[in-house]
Amino acid sequence: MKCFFKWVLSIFSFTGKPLQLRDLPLLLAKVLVWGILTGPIFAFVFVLAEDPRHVLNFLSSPRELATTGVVGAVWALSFYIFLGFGNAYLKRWIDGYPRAISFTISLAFNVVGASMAVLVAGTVSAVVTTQTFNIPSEYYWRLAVINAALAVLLAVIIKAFIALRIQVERTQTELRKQELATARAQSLALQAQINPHFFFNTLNTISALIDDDPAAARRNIGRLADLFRYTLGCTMGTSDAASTAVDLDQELDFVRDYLAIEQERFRRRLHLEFPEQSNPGVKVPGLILQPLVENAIKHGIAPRIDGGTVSIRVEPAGPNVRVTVRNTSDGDPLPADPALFRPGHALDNVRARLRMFTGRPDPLTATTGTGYTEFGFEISSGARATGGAIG
Amino acid sequence: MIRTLMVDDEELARNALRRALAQAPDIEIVGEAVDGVDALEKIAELQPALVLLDIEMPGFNGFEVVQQLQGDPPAIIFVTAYDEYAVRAFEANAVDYLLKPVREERLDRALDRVRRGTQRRAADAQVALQVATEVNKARSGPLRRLAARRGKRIVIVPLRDIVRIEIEDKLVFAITATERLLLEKTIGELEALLAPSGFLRINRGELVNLESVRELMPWFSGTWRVKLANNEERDVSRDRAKQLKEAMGIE
Repeated sequence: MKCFFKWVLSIFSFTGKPLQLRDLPLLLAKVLVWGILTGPIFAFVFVLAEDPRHVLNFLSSPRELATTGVVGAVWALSFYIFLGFGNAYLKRWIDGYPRAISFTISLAFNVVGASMAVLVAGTVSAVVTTQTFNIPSEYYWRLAVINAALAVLLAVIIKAFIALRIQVERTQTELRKQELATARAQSLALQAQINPHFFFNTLNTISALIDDDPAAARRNIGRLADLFRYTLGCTMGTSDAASTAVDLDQELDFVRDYLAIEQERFRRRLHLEFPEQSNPGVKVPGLILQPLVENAIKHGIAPRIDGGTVSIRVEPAGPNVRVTVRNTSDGDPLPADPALFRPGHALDNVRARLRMFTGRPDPLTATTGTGYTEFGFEISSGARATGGAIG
Repeated sequence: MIRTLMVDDEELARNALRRALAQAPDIEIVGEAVDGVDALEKIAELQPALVLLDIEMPGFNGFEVVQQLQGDPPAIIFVTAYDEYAVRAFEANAVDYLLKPVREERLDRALDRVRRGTQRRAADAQVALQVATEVNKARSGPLRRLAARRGKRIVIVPLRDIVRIEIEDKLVFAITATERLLLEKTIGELEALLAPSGFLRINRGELVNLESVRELMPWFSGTWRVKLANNEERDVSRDRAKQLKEAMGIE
């Protein structure tokens, strides 16, 4: 029974999504059931108001109950056809207009629709009920007016109910969206973890250093431990999305350690340039620089016999700071955008996370000049920074 | 003694490997190379029996080095820190490989295989070449650079710079816009190696880079003629013309 009522009530839970044709029979069935249930209840109230002595007669007469059921169904159906359908489409259609205009259109439509519904349902039900109940014709108009009044009252209640329902659903959708954004930020941060290549190469470096230079081996084990601590902190610290935002200076320290280990591998082939000033208050997504630096080494240092330079710069740019990672390159043009940012690639990950962090559609720029390739992004300099702002 | 060449761009990695190899009394390290080009030069110069070959290197990577070996190739043991894809290919084809940091028992096992397998070295080299080609293609697409000889030096030629390749007096030359470079492979080997990179044999003694073909004109009795980017005109034999036209998307 509870299930049944829930099903009948579910007619009110429309979310403004377009009506599907295949849902139509079920929807009409709901409307009819709803009308058949409410018809006798209205009639009961009507009879009670008119002459309480007739209540028992009414309740014991299947013919009269059935008639009121049919009348209820006619009312529900006509209101649904004249107002329900129209409103569902109207809502989407008028969404783009200014509020005053959309309100006027909606009001006009609803007044006309309601009048039509009252006219049709009122006529049909008046004819049916006067036949069934042998009501004298002078009561005809009274009956119609009471019916209409009841219908309008019902419509107002239903409308309020629907509005509330939509409000609740909207809030829930918002919440879900935020949760999704959080989850996405986390999963992106997880993907941004350090490349296994780096891990194995570092183990190899350390393995060789143990004999050559034990102090250096120890130093690099310390660096590796710090790197992993930082990575773990960025990816599984807390469930709060804001925790993936870190101080730019912290991120730069991390990248310095990362590059120090790479320096141990590449030796003279790798030249490094770091920014000297500190950047208090500037926040970036955790692990955002490391993929860019890794990319710079992969393309600017590793394939070149003479190696090259990786330089990181932080420069003021209006209300923002601009962070760039540049590597020397053969002057090969960068591949087209889709190839460069193919899904799953580290650069695509960086771009997606910057997009979420800054809200800009294209936050990561790539430029090639003679002998260099540069990736850069702008980030709020922190004047109005309020912790991490993801999502 | 097994004459061995170590190839790795990282000094520390070479140090570690040298120490590990010192445990094997029959291994004689005859040289060390620090990148792909250096490796090709040293292999040609020192004729080692065994090459311990790093994969990730500047210049040519390890696979490209194998693809460009010529003559009687040495036994190859690939060395890599982390390359899941390559390792799967090695396993599937029983190619020798080592993972860095190198564990001594693994090194011993790989060296044992080399000691026992001197007679099947040619077959092994063939397999190594196949795997190298396959893995390299999957990793970075078709070959993009070729090793060529300029005097005594080995140089890297980007394939896009090569207009055509020709035989002259049993020597194979790559012709670029500015120079002729000696290649140390046969025209047949190059035809197979460079087909995926867009090179096609047009007659008994010549390959052309399809990118440099400018005009295609009918010539005598079913043969054709191509005009190349450097304004040279070359003959296309009758049986090659069909392939050329197909490759150019004409028929």
